[in-house]
Amino acid sequence: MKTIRLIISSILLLFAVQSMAQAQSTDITETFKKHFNKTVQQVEETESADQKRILLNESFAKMLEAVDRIESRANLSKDEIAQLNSFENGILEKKNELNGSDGFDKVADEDLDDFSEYSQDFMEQADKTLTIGLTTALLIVIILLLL
Amino acid sequence: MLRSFSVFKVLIGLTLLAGFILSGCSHTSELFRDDAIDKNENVAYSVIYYIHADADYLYHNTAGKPVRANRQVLDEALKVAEEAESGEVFIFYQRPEKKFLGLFPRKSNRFYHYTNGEKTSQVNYRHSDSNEEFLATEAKLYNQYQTYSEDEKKRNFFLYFGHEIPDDGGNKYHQTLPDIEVNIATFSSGIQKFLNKDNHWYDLIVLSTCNNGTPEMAADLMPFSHVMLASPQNLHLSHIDSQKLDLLESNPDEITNFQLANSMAKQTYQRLEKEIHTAITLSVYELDVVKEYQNELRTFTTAYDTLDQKQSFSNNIDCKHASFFDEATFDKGVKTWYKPASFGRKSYSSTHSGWGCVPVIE
Repeated sequence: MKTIRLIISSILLLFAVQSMAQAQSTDITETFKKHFNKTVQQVEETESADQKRILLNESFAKMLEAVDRIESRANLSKDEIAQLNSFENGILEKKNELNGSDGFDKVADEDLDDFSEYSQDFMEQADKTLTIGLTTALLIVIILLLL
Repeated sequence: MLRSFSVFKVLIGLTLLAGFILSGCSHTSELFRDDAIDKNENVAYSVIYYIHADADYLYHNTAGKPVRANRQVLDEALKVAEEAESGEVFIFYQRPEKKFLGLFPRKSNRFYHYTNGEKTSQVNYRHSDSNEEFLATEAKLYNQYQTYSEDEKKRNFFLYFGHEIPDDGGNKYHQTLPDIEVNIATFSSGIQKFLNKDNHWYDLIVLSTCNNGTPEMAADLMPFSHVMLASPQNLHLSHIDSQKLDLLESNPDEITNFQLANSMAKQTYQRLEKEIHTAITLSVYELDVVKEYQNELRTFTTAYDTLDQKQSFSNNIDCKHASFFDEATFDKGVKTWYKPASFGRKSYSSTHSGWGCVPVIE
């Protein structure tokens, strides 16, 4: 009886491990896109231009921090690092344009809604996705950071 | 009694297990087939859709609602197929390969075949070889199910929806089949597997991807395609519209391949113009014309390759920024719809040559 239970438990454990291994290959671009969509909605619902700017700056900062954590904690290949850097540079450019730094003209108050949509369009283009396999633990850290 | 009951449960479990293993041995399972359809029925044209869904294709519409671009394209393709009364439509919908309980491979991908507007087959399939050549399984299914048309003027169209097809490498393009290499060379050889010796030309190839309107892609496709529609730069995930294929029904004799591609590009441009703030660049390449200056194009590509380090994983730039780009020559046979981004560094540029090049690190 004990042997049969042991066999069944082992099989179930094997299935669980296999399923977890599959779940870990979830890519992270969806997480970023969902996070930034919330920001766009909040920006459009907010009247004050200063508040819109704060929301966008906070959102860009969170994404940049998430990218930093991935870079420092995940074991990445050369291509993955290049993809992540490209994504990071894109966000940094948007942050600079929002605030008028690095040679950009500051985004005018009346254009902030359009700018937030533009930033979202940039993140949702049909180029490559960040196909980085994260551990479940690190994925959870990234999601919590973006909440 | 208790012991025999437990043994009975184990036996049932083992039987189910064996069932799953056996069911996983076949790579396809036909869900539907209309046997009344004549395999030699006359069809005036053939449309092949390949919709990649084995990656992240989530975007948000103007109302902030999440949209799966792959699902949206599938719905449109099915609609086009139902209206293609004188044609034949093949839809390959490549979804993530999944395993039951993490062990037994499932047939996650879908193949739909329509003949003269009627669904004639629907097949669930999987890729049995995780190292296979790109599009090998799909081409095999196509050759198995296609109608043998006697119409010598039968036209062929291939529409590809996915992320950018890279110049080289291309591992991990499919998230769940990372060993299948997807790049310009494997794509080019992959889609040729759908052609046969009697019918070895595509009238139009549509690439609803980012950054594939390039000299390299045109050079690879021109030996077997008359026209190409692609974006030289980034393209938003709300992909290229294909409803204009209905012109093949309403205006079959008059509509040329170039005009058909132009109609699709124009419709997509007009929609995207209202919806997105990033740059829109759609180009139609009359490859029969481009072929006339293919040597110059290849010389340009070779010279560009010798430039300093390329910026990988970045949005393409307009090739005209290279000092040795001959705009007067490379303009022939290329029609472009372009709107610069509302924001960003390059928003001052008001025209585009229609050719995309990988940016160079300055």
